[in-house]
Order: sequence, then C-alpha cells, then structure tokens
Amino acid sequence: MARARTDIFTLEIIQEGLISAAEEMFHAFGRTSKSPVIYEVLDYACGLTDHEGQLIAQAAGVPGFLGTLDLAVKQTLEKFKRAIYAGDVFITNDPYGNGTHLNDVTLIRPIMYKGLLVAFAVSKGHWSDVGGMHFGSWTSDSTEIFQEGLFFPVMKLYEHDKLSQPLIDMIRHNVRIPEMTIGDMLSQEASLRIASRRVEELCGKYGLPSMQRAFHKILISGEKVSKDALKHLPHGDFEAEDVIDDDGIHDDPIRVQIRLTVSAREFVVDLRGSSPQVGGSINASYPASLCTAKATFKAITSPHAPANEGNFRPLRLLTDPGSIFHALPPAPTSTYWETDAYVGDLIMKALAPHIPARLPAGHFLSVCGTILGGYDDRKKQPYALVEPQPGGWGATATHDGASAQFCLGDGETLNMSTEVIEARFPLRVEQYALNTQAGAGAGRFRGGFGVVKDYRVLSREANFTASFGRAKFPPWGLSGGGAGTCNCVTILSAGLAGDSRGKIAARKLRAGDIVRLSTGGGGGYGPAADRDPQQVAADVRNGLVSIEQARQLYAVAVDRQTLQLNREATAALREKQKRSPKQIDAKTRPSARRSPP
Amino acid sequence: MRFAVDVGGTFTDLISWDLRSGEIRCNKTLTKVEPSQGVLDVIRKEKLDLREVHLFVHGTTLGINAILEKKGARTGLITTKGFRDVIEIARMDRPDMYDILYRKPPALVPRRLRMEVDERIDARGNVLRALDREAVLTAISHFRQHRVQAVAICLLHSYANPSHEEQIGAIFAKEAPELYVTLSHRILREYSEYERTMSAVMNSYIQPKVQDYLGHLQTNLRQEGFSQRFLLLRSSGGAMSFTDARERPIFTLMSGPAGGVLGASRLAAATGMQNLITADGGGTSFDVSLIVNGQPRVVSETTIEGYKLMLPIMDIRSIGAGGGSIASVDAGGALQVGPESAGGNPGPVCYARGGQQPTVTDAALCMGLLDPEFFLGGEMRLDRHAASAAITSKIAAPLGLDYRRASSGILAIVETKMAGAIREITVEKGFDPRDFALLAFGGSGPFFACNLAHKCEIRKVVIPVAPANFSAMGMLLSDLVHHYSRTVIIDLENSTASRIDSIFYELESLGQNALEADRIPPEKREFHRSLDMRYLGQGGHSITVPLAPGTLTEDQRRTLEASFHRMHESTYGHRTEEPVQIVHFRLQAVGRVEKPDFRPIPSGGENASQAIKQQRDVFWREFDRVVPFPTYERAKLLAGNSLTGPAIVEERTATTVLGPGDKLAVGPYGDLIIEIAQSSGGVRNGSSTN
Repeated sequence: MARARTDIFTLEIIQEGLISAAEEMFHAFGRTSKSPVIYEVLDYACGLTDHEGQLIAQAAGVPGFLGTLDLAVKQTLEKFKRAIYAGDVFITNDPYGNGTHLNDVTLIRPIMYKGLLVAFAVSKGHWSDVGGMHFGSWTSDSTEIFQEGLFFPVMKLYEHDKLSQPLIDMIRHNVRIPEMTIGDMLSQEASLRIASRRVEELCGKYGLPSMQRAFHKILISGEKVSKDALKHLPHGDFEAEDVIDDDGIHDDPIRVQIRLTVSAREFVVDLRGSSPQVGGSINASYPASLCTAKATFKAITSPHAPANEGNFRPLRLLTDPGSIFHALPPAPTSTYWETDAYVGDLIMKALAPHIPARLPAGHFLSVCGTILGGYDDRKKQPYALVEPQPGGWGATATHDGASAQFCLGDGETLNMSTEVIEARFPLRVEQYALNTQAGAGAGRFRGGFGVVKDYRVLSREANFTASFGRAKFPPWGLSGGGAGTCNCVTILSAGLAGDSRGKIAARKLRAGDIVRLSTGGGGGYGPAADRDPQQVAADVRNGLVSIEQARQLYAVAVDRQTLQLNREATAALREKQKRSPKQIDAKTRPSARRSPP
Repeated sequence: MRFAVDVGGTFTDLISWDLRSGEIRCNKTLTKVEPSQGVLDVIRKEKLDLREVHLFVHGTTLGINAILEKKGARTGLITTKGFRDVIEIARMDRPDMYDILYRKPPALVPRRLRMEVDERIDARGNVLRALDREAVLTAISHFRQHRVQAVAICLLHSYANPSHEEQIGAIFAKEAPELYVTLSHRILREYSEYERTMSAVMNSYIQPKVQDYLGHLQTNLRQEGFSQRFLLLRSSGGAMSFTDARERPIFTLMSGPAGGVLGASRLAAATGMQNLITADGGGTSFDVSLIVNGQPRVVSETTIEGYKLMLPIMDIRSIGAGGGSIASVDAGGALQVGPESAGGNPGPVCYARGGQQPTVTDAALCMGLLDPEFFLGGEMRLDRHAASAAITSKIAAPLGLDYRRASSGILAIVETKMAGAIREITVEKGFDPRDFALLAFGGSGPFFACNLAHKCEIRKVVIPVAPANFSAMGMLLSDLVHHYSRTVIIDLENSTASRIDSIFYELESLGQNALEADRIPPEKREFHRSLDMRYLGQGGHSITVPLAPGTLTEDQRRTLEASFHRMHESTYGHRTEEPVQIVHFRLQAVGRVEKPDFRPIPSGGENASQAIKQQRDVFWREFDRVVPFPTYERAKLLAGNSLTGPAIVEERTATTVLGPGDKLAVGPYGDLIIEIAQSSGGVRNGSSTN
C-alpha cells in the first residue's frame, strides 16, 4: 500500500523527465539547424510517444504540428509492424496519411530498452526546400501534389544506425539547396538520438514497469483534465459557417461549416457539408484538420497543462472524404494552413458567443507566409527569407484584442529583427508598424491591430511568393462587435501601387520594388457605442483610432486640439445614436453577419 | 575598513572587513520602505565609523522593483521613422503556445510618447538620410507638454554608426537639459533593435528613481563622514562606479543574485574547487548558476518580466520554487507545488500570520526537518499543528495519504523542479553535473542541497559560512568591471590579425579611460578579449571564444577557427566544415581591488559531539517511517569535525539536512563539505523500482 502511494511521485518525476527529454530535443534541433525557418522562426515540433504511438510528452513548438506527430508513428507501426529495430530512423511527409504539406518532414526513431520497444522519439520540421515547381516548394499556384516536391511515404532513412545512401543521393539531386536541406535533416536526426538516450536513462533508473505505469497515468490524467474542463463548457449543438477567400486558381469563394456538439463526455467537431476539395493548394488533409481541431480543443480546455494524447480522447472529428477538410490524392496541399486554420476558427465562432470571456472574436487567422529570395549581388550567393507575419487578435468580453501576435497555428515563434535582416539580406525594411490605417474591429472591446511591413528589394532581381488568407472576408465580430479587417499584400513598383491581393506566386521583382505586407485587425466584442468613451479618447491620443472614427464608430467626440474627451458632445452623440442605431453600424461588413442566428 | 550592503526583499545585509585586524563581521536588519533608511539603520546597528571606511560596495533591488511594480518614470522614446511600434510588436513568442488569451507585457512607453524622426543609416553604418533636426525639437516640446521625465533614443543601426543618436543627445543637452536621456548605443553596441530599444527604455524607466536614491544615500553617508569610494555591483558580477551607475542603472538590475555567484567564484579560488553549481534558495525563487574553471558564466541576453534585454548578466536560471511555494491538488488529481509563493506575508501556514495555503516550509516542519523553536534563532515560533492540519485537509485527504507522506511528496516535487533547473544549466548545455560540487546558500538553499545533489548525481555539497549573508559577502569581493561590445560582421577567412586588433584596441582605449576615471593605477588594470563567432549561415546561436590578452598575432588568428570548432562541438555535439564568421567583439576592462581572504576557524578533532543539540523524530521517505535524527549546532562545529547522516545541522538563519550515509567534514574556513552517499539510482528520492 505504502509503496503504491509513494509511486505517485515517481510517476510525476518520470513525466517531468519525459517533458525535459522532449525539450532537450527541441533545443538541440534549433541550435544546430542551418535554416532561418527552423532556428529563427522555430517552424518545427518535437515529442515522445509510447510504443503504440500515443503522444506522452511534447516540447513547445508549432501547435499546428504537434497533433500530427502521433499519426506518423502510428502509420510507421502499421506499415513496418514488427520490422522496427534499434538504430532505425523513419522519414515521412505524407500529407494525406500523417501530415500537412510536403515541406514538413517527420523523422521517427524507436527507443528500445533491453531489446523491447518502449517509445518513439519524433520530430517534424519545415524543410526550406523539397523540390517542386518553385523555390521554397510551397506555392499558391500548384494544382496537383506532384508540383509541390518530393513525397516520402514512410520509409527507413537509417537502418541499424546506417544512413541510406540511395535515399540521400535522391534527396540531394531533387532539392535546390542540398547543404541546407541535408544539414537540417542531420540536425533533426541527432536531436532524436539525444531524446532516445534520455528515455533510455529513465528506463535504467526507474525500471520498465514504472515507466509503463507512468505512460498509462499520463494518458489517464490527460483525459481527466479534458473531461473536467468539458463540464465547464456550455453543452449542446452549436453551428457556424464561413467563407474562404478562394483557392488561388479561381476566384470563387469556398463555403465551410461546422456543427459542434459538446457534452460532458465528448466534443464532436462535424465539418461535413463543407465544400469539396479544390483545384488550388489550400486543401487540408484529414491529419491537418485533426491537428488544428486538437490544438483548438487544447486551447479551450487546458492551455496550461502539458499536452498528451489522453487530452484528446473526448475529441471526435467528422469530415467528408474528398472535401476541403479531408483532401484525397493527388490534391495539392502546400498552402493547407489557409484551410485548416478554419477548423479552429469555426470551433471558436460556434462557441465564443456562449463563453465570450474565454474565447475571443475572430483573429487575422492566416499564417501570412512569404518567401522573398533571389541572388545577393554583393555576397555572390543566393538568399531566401521565409517568414510568417503577426496580426490582430479578437476582443473578448473583458479585454481588447491583442495586437501583432502570431496566428493560432503558430506558437512559440519569433519574428526577425530588422537590423539582422538588413545585415544578412539585400533588403531594406522601410517600415514595421501597427496597421492603424486598416484598423481593427470596433466594439465595447475592440480588436487588436495587425502590422504593416515594407520590404524594399536591393538586389538586381528577386522572387516573391505569398499566401495571405482572409484577404476578402475579414475576421468576425462577437456579440455585436464589428468585423476585423483583411490581410493583404501590395507590390509597389516604380512608385506605383499594384493591386492588393491575398496570394502571389513566384512574382519577379526588380531592385527598388517594395513589397508591402499588411495584416488585419481582429474582430470586436459588443456594440461599439458601449465602449468607455475615455478608452476611445485614449485610443485617439495613441493614434490608434482617428477623431472621425471615434465619432462614426463609437459616437465619441474628442477635441481636435487637446485630444481630450468632450463629455457633453459625446453624450449628445450617444443619445442620438440610441434613437437610430443603424447609422453607427456603417463599418460592419456583410460577412460578419454570416454567423447563424 | 571596507563594507558591503545588500538590500534584499526582506533583509538588508551588511558585511564589513577591517583591513588592519582582518576581522569580518555580519549584521542585518529588516528592509525599510525607504531602502536608504535600512542601509543607514544597519550601519548604525553595526556602529561603523564611516570616516574609517575606504570602500563601500552596494547592491540594490530598487531598479528591478520599479520594473516589477511598474513604478518607473514617465518615459518617452525617439526612433527612426517607421519604427516606433517595434517595442509594442516585440518578438512575439507565446510562452504557452495554446494560450489564446496570452497578452504581451504592456509597452513601457505608451504609443503617444513614442516619437519618430526622419533619418536612416544602413547596416554598414552609411548615412542614407541625414537627421531631421526639426523633428527632434518637435519631439522635445511634445515630451515637455506631456511631462515626460526620461527619454530613450534608439535609431536603426546605431550600433554601426552612432552619429545620429549623438546629435540627438547634443540637441537634448542644449534644449532640454532637465530631461534624463539614454542613447541606445551607450548601453549596447550590438544589432537587434527590439532588445537594444528595450534596454535603453528600461534604463530610462528606472533612471530617475535610482539617481534619486543614490543621491539621497550619498548625501546621508557624507553627513556621517563617508568621503571615499562608492561602488555598485553589476548584474554581471563586477562593480561599477557611483557616477557610472547614475548614468546606466540598467546594469545593476540583478546585483543581489550576482553577489552570490561572485562570492562562489572567490570561494572556488580559495578552496581549489574549480567547478561549482551555485544554488541560491530563498522563500520564493531558486537561482542556479555555474562556476566553470573558477569563472562565473556571464551572458549577454536575458528576459525580465517578459521584456527581452541585451545586457551582460550572470547566467542565472531562476525558477519559482522555495520555502514559500504553495502546494495544491489539481483537477486531474495531481499534486502541484509552486510557482506561486506565500512569500513572507502572509507566509506559510506555520508562521501563523494568516496563511491558509500549505507550503514547502509547512511540509518540512511536518516531517520534523525544521525545529519550530529555533526558527531565525528562536526569534519566531512555528505552529506545527496548524501546518499538519492544512496539509491533511488540502493535500493528504484528496490524495488518500497521511499528512507525513503527503509532506514528503511535496518536497519530492519541489526538489524535482529544482533538479530540473540544475539539469537545464548543466546537462542541456553540455556539462556533466558529476564534474561539479553544489554550493548552496540563501535561507533555504542548504535545506535542499544534499537531496538535490543526490538527485543530480553530484558527489559533493558545500555550505559556506553564514549562507544567508553570502550575497553581501560576494559584493565585498568584487573588482571594478566595464563591458564593451561591438557588432562587426567579418568572415574569419578574409580577416587579418591587425583588423581584429584595431577593433579591440578601440574598445581598450575606452576601457583605459574608464579605469583612469575610476582611479585604478595602470598595473591593476586587465583587459579580457572575446569574440562571438558562428558558422556562416547559422542563426543567432553564436559561441563566445576567449582570446589571449595583448596584441593578436597572425598565428593566434589562425588558431581562432580551431578553438571555435572545438567549442561548438563541446556545446552542440557536432562541428561542420563551413566557413566561420565573427559577429560581435567583446571586451571586459577590469580594475583589480584588494579583497579580504576567507578566514580559517578554530580547529578540533574529528569528533563533533560538542555540537550535538538533541535528537528529533523525522519522517524519512526512504524508510517510509519516522526515524531519530541527531541535530547539531553549527556555531559549535570546529574545523576538522566530521559526522555522518542522517543528521541535521542548524544555525540561526539556515538548516542543512544530511541523508543517511552523507558524510560531513568541516573545512578550514568553516564551510560544511558533504560527500553524498552513493546508492542505486532514485531510491532515496522515493521511487519504488520493482
């Protein structure tokens, strides 16, 4: 009896040990990588699963990856069954089976102790280039997966610690910067070895039975944490629908919908009835959709507790095979994030009206990814800057939305310093500022602001690819709050501004051209006329809201000279507005009312 | 006579050193609301004659507290046009990736006090657009109108060419001499505009308060007859002059914890223990750091309250775990300890000052590890009954355990976190903890030391004399130090020794001038050069390679590459054939000052029985039952005494716990040197391997 009781703490100590093994793996990969997208943008994730592929520990990283780590291990187990040996390392980037897009490559290493399979170390990272039709591989103009790069079904990269030379030769001759790609692969593999060693040490210290009990307990308590959280969510059926801009090939909007069923036992995300898969690269595979559903479920139920597969036992995802959320081969998927983000957004849109203090209004949603590259004439070498951009988040019932933050799908990610960019690339940043011009959703609490960043090209030529979703349909407002604003990309050539667009594929640029990246503001919460007039005046003084916007959107009068609140004039405006509320609603866009009643 | 005063959150500690007699004395008083009052109090309590004092070293938490409490100055900012929002956009990493309600710490300067000026300099220092001086005047009148006290100025690429910042500084000096002005390049000459701007803003934010405090303190000390040198401890462990600290108070932010690590490095020199893990345990936080080959590790980046700063600072890993850490059972039925702390007020349940939440101290008391009658030497009585009642109802009952086992679980968890912090600064950075001794100090450090050592497979533990005053001791042991750095990116292959040397020479002449102003004679000056290097194409993860002093030869330049490869391999486990780049130049200018030696204590034989106080019943997890532990009074231990655990050594402000088989020997300086019992992994820490 006493022994079993004491065990509780041992199990927790083992859990801490597993998490720190995953974190060690994360740091080792990041510190030794050669691609900015790994070491600077941190576009990768690391975790450990048990011998059946159930996630038991993970390090920070991109939430959009973590939910797929276990799927890759399960697919490996299914394919290789008993033919998994110490010293093997598996490689896969199969979007339909375990992944997201071909750039995201998963490596898996079995962890053995005394000849028994105990666990798997697994990591998934964005490789800068895996071949395909354009530099950087992902693009918004592909129409089949074969244009998006090399496809690794689950296969052995190492067998008994011996690297597969044919496979390496194959990779070397099919990617554009092999030193970078293969260098990253080796860093990634080395980090798996570090984690394996840690887990083997834990096995040696505590014995296999204690380890297995710890795995079991981690999963059971993970499930309990989620179930307890479910008790505190509103129960019932909730619906929402929305529109995705376009598929990058045709201009047609794409309709998506959700029916969410929440009970004390289950959280069922039913996306059936959404659009069929499309011709362009925005298709999400089932694993990508599931992954976002998991990240959103985790964010709603237990954002601060360590994540493991037990957490997700109450979650179910229903999709139509062949739909945009469950694309089948050979659909292109390289900008899948434009679609899988909607899984999270639809869940929040359906649920937020019922728990507006805990879930914010719609945010800018898209990764807003760019590839800007070319040939550095001074350093005589190619360069490529791959980045996500931050944007505005939605308001809640208690706070304004956060400004300039990465989207739901990006987690522990850093932006790059202007001084570092200019020292490293033939580019000049002309501004990096809050996007106050586009503004943010008005409301009792307003949305947060996006950013605007201008890159001037200094090399003779450059190539530019971008995918900015929500360029046509802005983030939704909550409980009467205004809609947010759209993301967009503008190219200014010879001083002339071109069209603002959401998607650009491999556009040729010349020295002097400016690429302007603008991200949108989040949705507001509650009627704008309920906002504290002092807050509105403070926003005016801080240059976030203009005097005209204060009057039109918020019915607040601010003195042009002193920038102080004019109480009498404000009272009059608000009185007048109460009598004819429609006038104030001028900035609310049609899509904001697309929510079901 | 020399003395040092460390103003901490709870206590103000004084250590004095009489150069003639060699005598070292400690004293302490409670920290006052007006901190300079506490300093004067403790000086009076010690009856120090300030006319006799030649050197005063001071550590203060005033700056860091202003930041923690958001009570700094009304600060304005001037940036390059197009970049005033950099400090609000920040770097954007969400610490908890699933937290959709995460908010960045608020920008320390509100947007309307962030002014832009038209000007532009590129990464190589070329002026692309001249400074718009009119815009500076507009900013000044805007700041005046909004009653701004302090202004930070940070322009893009000022690390490469500071001329525009200097021009703005000159305009302020002429037009607005009443404003406190910080030029970012005077704080830091490295790239990364967010970190440099934040470092400058933070300096402005605390400057009026710190200057005010220092001025006030100096006036008071002068009235008492003090007329000699007044130094402040830097976060990096060196001391800086009073004048310098007034200009750049940002460098004193972490002077308290730095004092402890500095003391540790001196102890390493005195005892010949070259590799130490320092563990500074208090009520709320647990700070760990490394001494490698006798040297503390100083890094150039840190995060304070979510703000990323670039400053030379001791590499200290701080976690929320200590005597006051609160224990609870979460929704999943798991026991959690910390990071929330009951602090000193209301404090643990056993303080009987209204605390309701069981803490680590309560658990230690319930297990019999603390003497309720001898807390703070008997100044305070602990309520063991209240502690066990709280642990029973809040922890033991929900888990289905008795209160003693629940208590031992609380300790096991907090120790696991502490061990994790030790592991992070050792194993994760390529150091094997078995190559180190654990030096534990602070109020609660000695209590956890032996168990932590066991857990991390550290073989030796050292508890210094007066562990709770160890940080103040460290201050008395500091030299004067100035740090200089410069971002100049050079491919090693294409560099020459004379080019590298000329950049260092420039930095050294700055150092010479500063040490001259500090009145340090030339024979006491030292210059330490190092280079931050990385593989071409690698990211921000550079490695600092130290250089030999003096002019660099061509031969030495060629060996730099090999040193870099070697250090990269030992840090990250591999090397490549890529070309190597220099990113930053770093120089430390040191002015040596005379320091006290650790003093031997009276010695005796092996037998320590004269120091035995009593036997106490302790619940020990390894046995899963209560066993008698002899307790010893540290003040009565003599050099050469030895004893074997289980045992408890008590002194006024600390308790050291020895597990079964741990062997303690009292060193010549009175430090407790404990050999940790070797046993099969984990048993002592409560695992039940089958």
